[in-house]
Amino acid sequence: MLAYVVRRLLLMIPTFLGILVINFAVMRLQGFTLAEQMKVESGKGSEGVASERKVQGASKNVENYIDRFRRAGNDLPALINTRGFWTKADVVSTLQVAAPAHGVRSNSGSRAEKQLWLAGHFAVEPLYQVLADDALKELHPAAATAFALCAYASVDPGNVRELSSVELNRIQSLNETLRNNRFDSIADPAYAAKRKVLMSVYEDPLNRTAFAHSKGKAWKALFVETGFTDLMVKLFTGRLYSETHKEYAFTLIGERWYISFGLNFLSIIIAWGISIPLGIRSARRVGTLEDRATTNSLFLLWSLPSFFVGTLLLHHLCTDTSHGAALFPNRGLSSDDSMWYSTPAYLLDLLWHATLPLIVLCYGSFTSLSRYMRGNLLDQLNADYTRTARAKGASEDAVIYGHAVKNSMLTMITLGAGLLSELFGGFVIVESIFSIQGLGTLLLDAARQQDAPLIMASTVISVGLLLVGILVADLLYAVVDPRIRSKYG
Amino acid sequence: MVEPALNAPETASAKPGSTATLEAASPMRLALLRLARTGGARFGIAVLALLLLLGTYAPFISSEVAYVWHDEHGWRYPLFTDLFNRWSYTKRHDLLFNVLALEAPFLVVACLVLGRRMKIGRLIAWSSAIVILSWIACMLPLRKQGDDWRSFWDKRAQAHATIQDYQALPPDTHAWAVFPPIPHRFDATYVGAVLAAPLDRNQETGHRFWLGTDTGGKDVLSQMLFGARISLTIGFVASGLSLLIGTLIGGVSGYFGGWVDMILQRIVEIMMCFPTFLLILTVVAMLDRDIFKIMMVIGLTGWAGTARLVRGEFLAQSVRDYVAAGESMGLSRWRIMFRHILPNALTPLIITATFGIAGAVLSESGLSFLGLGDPTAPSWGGLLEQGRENIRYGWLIYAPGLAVFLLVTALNLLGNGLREALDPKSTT
Amino acid sequence: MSANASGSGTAVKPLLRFDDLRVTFRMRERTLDAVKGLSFAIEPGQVVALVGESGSGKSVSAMSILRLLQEPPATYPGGHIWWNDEDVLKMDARRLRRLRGGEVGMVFQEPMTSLNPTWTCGDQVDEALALHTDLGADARRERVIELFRLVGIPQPESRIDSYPHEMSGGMRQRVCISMALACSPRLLIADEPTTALDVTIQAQILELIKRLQKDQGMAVLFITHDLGVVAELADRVVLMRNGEKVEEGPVAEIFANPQHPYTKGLLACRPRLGVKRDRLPTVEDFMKAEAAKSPEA
Repeated sequence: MLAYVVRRLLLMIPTFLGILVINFAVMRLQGFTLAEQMKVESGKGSEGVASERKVQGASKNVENYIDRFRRAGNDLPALINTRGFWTKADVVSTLQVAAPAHGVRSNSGSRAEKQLWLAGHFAVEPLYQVLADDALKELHPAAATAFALCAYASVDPGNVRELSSVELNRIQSLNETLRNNRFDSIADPAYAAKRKVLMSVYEDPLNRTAFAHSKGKAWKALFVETGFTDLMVKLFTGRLYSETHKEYAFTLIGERWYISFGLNFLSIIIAWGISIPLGIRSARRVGTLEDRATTNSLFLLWSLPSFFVGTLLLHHLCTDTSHGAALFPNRGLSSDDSMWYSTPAYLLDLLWHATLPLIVLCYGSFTSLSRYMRGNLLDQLNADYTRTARAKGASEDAVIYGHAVKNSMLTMITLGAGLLSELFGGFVIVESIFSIQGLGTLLLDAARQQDAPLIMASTVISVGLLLVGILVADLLYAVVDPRIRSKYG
Repeated sequence: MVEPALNAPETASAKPGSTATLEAASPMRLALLRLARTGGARFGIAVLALLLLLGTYAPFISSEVAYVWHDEHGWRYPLFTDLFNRWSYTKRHDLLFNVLALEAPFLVVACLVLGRRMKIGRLIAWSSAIVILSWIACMLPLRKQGDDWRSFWDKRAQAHATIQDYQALPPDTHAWAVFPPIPHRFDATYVGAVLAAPLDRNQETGHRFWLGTDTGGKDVLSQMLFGARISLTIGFVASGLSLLIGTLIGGVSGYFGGWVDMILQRIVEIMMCFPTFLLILTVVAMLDRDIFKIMMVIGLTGWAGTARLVRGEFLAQSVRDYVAAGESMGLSRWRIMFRHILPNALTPLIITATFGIAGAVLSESGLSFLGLGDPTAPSWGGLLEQGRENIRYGWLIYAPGLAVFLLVTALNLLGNGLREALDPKSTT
Repeated sequence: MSANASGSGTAVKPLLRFDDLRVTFRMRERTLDAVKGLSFAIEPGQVVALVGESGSGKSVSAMSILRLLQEPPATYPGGHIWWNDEDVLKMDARRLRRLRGGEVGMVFQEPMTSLNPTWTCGDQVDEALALHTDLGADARRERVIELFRLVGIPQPESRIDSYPHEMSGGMRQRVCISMALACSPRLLIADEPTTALDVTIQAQILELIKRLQKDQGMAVLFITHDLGVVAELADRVVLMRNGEKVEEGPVAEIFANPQHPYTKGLLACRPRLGVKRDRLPTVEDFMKAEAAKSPEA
């Protein structure tokens, strides 16, 4: 039995990893969207007249984007980071594409430019070398911008509490210096001075440890400083930070997961509690009017989308009418003043609030479970071994409950595990209809605001719960099925 | 249904007369005959056909533009020109349906004429090819205007075409025009008609909003008609895509076996474990909301079930003798897979595809309902979302909700009918 | 056919008597007459073989003895099955349950699927005992072990807790037989018990049934299409075709002097050692030849 559990757990590892990879890929998609927006916004700034304020405004915008990229881990290459090996020559060729000496900048140019801007501290040393080289004068404006943006220090809001005020001040003044000393052309009167200031940023021994290249750093960065590892580290150390809520994602989830979990758990129990007796009853009366009526109405219910049912219930039962107050509350899981209630009153209040969400949550799985139960039980009742049991003289009840139901539970458990995944899409809809502050609404808000870290965290938690559910189903299966039990001793 | 459990072979062999007549027809034709006899499937087909008809001819039912306009300049048919107006119909799928609306009568006549001589499948394939090719042709720069080449699907202004133009004419003008029964555009905001109840009148033109208006003052019935286009497109494109991917992956996995199978099975398992709707939700959240991207995402995430099914069928079929016979004749693997094995695995595929369409429709309306749909497309789910936001306005709930329910029920009934017709052994 | 026409020829009161039994399956689109007026009798201690090709209605007749056919679709438009003096077709559910397993035991064709996969073999035999005897749990366990030993299952003390999937087909069929024998029935119905087994196992199972029949003195209704088995095991033969009885009589008589052309054909088309033919003849071939001959005769 233990061997079976271990085997199941081991099999789940690649699945979980695969899901993490898919999640990572999905979050990467945001990089493209952000890049598009960044192109538009940075373009706005540079095309206008080069008034100091406008340039600063645009650079502030770009810095914001860089912050967003860095927080989502989207500034790093996905799987392999070769930036540590960049030399001056690499950067020069990139700069030449990004800012060609004569002629119009192409699409690939802006892509190269962004690539450089997002390179972070890896590109600082080669860019410094470009700035220091008098022969590359025509590249200096672009190099200065890139240098300023690469050396720009993001303050991760997640980390800000852990930084000392001295450190914070230093970072802020550094960013200020970088922002103020960019130049758009060599014709800028302050060109020489600004160039010197920028170069001094690199030469400052305090910064130098962070910016200087070394072979060891480059090799370490190759696999470690990648988008994927960054995200995994953040995920497993609980450092995924939600910008919209200004809070760690797991803290947010910790406040809410039990609401969704409790609702789902209850709805599963209710759905099974209804569907199994119903399926048995229907199968026993197969072909009768009652069976046909049940089967057909279950079929119709099955086709009824849950968001329609939920909205209908809300429309009819949760709105005040001219006759009086609404039958059921229309939002949340407890009344506003419920904290003053006594425990039984509180529980009643909870039940009153949870009734409709539970109905909507469970009817979807209840209809399909009943249909499966009926069909499956019919299969079992036609099986040879039930005929043997009848030939032994067992009563119809003994045949059904002793033999057939137990065996059809085997299939039902597998189906139930499959239905779990459907259920996990369902709770987003139900929670959004009834404004329940659970994991589903959290995820939905995160999706609406493109809060990638929060999406990642809540999907991982949901999938984790789902996998636990599947594991439980597997264990149940092993308990019921002697074939698996004996196989794993 | 329940056969006498013990002796299915005996009952089958006991009526030699009936088997002789059955042999004459092909299994596919037999299945179709059986399908046509089940009431549920018939209802499903009827509903689907009706929705397809309404969706296709939506511009002819609901548009501000006149069919015919006659004045001193002569006869004009502005609605037909309007079908290719990129200002009126901004989405590509709308253009497809417009093309279909124009070509459908000719195609139906052609099919009726040729029906005797050609197979039904081939006729359908040819018709769809014609529609799709002409749709693509409409988007290509084939028309020369001035110096540059432009496509037929283009932004064009039309003077004197809409019902507003007609009503604004001075009373002594000699002009008359025929308008569609619902002279409202699906995306036009009507002044003073925010959340108008069903049967209320449009204050400008005096025509009724049969199903009321939404929060943006847009006609609900009109949106319902154009929403049918979206649901049908999503359903067919998304499930077609997942069918294609699933068949390829499942087929390769089942036929080649070994480590290819192992790796692909892992991937399929991951996709099965991932709650599909959550995946769609997150992907759509990361992209900008465009109906085609949503379609692709739904299609790209829903193939796991198909892949598993096809793999199972291929595993079962690849040990059959005809595969060995094909291999011994030196046929290529791809040929064996797709010309010989696939047709045998078609039955369960058709059934899953039908349910897959229903699933895709539900996914899209669910997304729109959650506010993650294409805001510029008149989706049923989007209407329902407005109903959820304005919970007292029943027509915003019933109209789109019942429409989704009807379409999904029709598809499920059809799927069930197909399963019973193609696979008589199943009991569920 | 009259009630006495079963033609046993002796004064012994029959244990089981089919009297013009008709079984019809009524399905949505069509009805199917599976058995069209079958009459014969089984005396106590007698082994009767019911022989016929598949679809001839022999299994349906056997199932009808215990009313195991699902009703509907199965219906009994006419006839009786007399168990001693009671009509099985008129028994209520309680009486029927006493009959099943208690007075009549039945062994089925497919040992692989005839046992419940989630019950231990011992429990499945035990169920029959619990239903029909007053024995306590320990006594029943003793009895099950004894039964397992009787049907030749090695190490019955440990096998009693095995699940069906842990046993071979032959062993499972032995479990089925022990289940049928659990309450010392007066009639054992064996519905092609050896068809799904290997040839060597077939012989063992036949030997077992033969031995048990001798030891316990019970009657056996043996359903088969294998004439070799019939010759070895049975006292009497009933031949069925298309739901009707074709011929009936003592084994030796039938084998030596078949009356009906179908029987003749059946006997003639058995493959024989040492005789080489291009193609094995079918019963149809033989009957066609018979029909061609008869007008001349």
